[in-house]
Amino acid sequence: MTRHLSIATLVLLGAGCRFGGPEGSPTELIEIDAGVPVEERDAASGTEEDDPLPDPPDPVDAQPEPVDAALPVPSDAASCTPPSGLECDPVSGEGCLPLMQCLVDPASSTPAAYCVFSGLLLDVSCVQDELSTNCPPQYTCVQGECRKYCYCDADCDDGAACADPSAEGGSDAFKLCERVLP
Amino acid sequence: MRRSWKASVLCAAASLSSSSAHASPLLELMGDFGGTGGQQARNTASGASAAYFNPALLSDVPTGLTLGVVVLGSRIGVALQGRGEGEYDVPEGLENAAHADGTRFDNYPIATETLQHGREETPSRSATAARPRQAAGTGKQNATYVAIGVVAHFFEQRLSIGFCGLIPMGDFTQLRSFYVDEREQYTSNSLHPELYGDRLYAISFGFGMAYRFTKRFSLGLGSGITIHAGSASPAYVADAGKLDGLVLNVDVKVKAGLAPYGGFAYRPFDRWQITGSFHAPQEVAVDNEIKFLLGTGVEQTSSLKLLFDWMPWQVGLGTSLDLIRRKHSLLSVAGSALYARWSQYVDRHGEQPVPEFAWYDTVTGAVGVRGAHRAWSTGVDFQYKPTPVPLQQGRSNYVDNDRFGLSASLEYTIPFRDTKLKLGTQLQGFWLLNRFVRKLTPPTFADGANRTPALVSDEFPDDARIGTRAAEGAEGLQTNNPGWPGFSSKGWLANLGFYLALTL
Repeated sequence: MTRHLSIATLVLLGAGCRFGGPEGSPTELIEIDAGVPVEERDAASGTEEDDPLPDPPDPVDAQPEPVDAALPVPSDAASCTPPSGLECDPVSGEGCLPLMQCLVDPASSTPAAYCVFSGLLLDVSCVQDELSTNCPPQYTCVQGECRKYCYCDADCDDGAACADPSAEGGSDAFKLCERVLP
Repeated sequence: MRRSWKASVLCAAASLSSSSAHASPLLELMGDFGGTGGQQARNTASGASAAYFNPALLSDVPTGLTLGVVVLGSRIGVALQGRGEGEYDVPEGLENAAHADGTRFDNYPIATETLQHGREETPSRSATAARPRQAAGTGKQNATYVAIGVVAHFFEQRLSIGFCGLIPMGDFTQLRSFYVDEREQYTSNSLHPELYGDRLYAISFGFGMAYRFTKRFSLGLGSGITIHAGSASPAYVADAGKLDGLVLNVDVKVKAGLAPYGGFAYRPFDRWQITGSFHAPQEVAVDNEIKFLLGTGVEQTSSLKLLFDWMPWQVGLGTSLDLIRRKHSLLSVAGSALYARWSQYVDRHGEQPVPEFAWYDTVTGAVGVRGAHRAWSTGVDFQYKPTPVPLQQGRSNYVDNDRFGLSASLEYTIPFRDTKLKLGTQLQGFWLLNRFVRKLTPPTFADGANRTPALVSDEFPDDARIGTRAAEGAEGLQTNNPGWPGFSSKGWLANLGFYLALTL
């Protein structure tokens, strides 16, 4: 009986996985006409004809950039350290229970944050109130757009500047990332 | 005598319905409706839905009729990443552009600005409706279904027959196709959940039978129907500028094939049961062939194959163990795993994912508890289903997420003369975990050739010419692929159902 139970347990341990999947590199160039030299023009990818593209940043932890964000403003190189005494950290997203996320408290004159329920972004525009937001974690809804919280430039993706003062709260401890043109 | 008369009536009802037998993604999501099998219906179905999930389990389902109603809601959100400051936009005026060697492009995109805001009518041009990005998503749905199940036994309970079905109220079925790359710009210009949406309106019937060889071993077989429809449409176009004057006939033929499934249930000891099941692939295929005859006498034929509700080979294994087994009380634990061969997936346009972004085969795991005390029965299940879809860093935009599921069911039995009346309810929730993907930037080349077909297509090739002059702004990537430069998705599905069962 015990032996049979062990077999059943092993079967369950193997559950909830996947295998197989992609074969070959999508960035590997296929031969069109070997006799004709080609000139690559896309400076952004910066690859030779026979070289694959560099690996992209790990998308697992990445978040959507704001839609149609504004032009960049030079960063003031603010401190990357979060203020002390926060209930949760809106920049790192830590401090809240599962299915909740951290927002800056707009009613506080000192740096403060609190946890709200995570909603679902069904459209391009976002909605936020005292109980919930449908922006991704570490983001806040500003004039219908999800914008990422930051303390300094290192908190932003793709070299974006951390320069836009947060519209929330009476404190300038929190800023929002802005988009940098390529 | 009375019992055999009732069984005969139930059998007749099952036989009449079997001609419509068809399995579907909807049944897979709903699990064991009309019983406490929850998300392990292949392992522990206690109602008529065993006819689809594991016909061998019909041997232990009492003869009876089940009627119920289920309400399903889905909220699956897709958020697109911003396109930046227009550096990837397709400009206007490409209708007459061509490659440097004079050959036409494979595909002519609509100007990005026109897609987003539309175009007003001018004396020289007609108006074009706006198709803003992700403005026509299909992740928000509510649906109500009527559930029906019938089970009957014959030959001293050795032979069992069962039927189950979920019939959507409103739209009986939905077949909605969409492209998963830049071609979708011409229709919705949006991304859609790949494994939900119209698949939640699939025709959903299951018919099966079981034979109990010994007290401890039963074998079952069933079959759904795979539908193949062919449509030939001769069309006459007198003036290509006036398509409202199209002359068209339709010749449609529908063929049905079998999609078999089956299973076994073996109880080595009184307290322990092992189950296994298999399901063959199922689909609804529609072949369209349109033969155009133009006013000039030119004839051209266009063919299009559409596939809906595709389901892969599935093989399930499960086990359950009775921890407490008394006259009026039962407590058991159950666990199961389901292998699905999603690597063979064929999408709604009959296309398979490219090898560089081939789908995974998956194993879905579930664990749960079953309990019964006197007139009350209950079951709780927890399920994890990994997505078969790899990160969509290339041209395709298949939207799917890893999924957690929780189901709970409660049933109360009331003795009623020689029968039993069961009142039951079932609640299920599925949480689609957040997923974000940023696409790879494809290299572009001066000769306009696409050397990375698995990546996003440059719809304005670098060698583009308009007349004899090089087209401005062709360098680099320009695309209307709605998933460019990235997107995220998450959401949930939930259903609540009530049923009434009359059993012998």
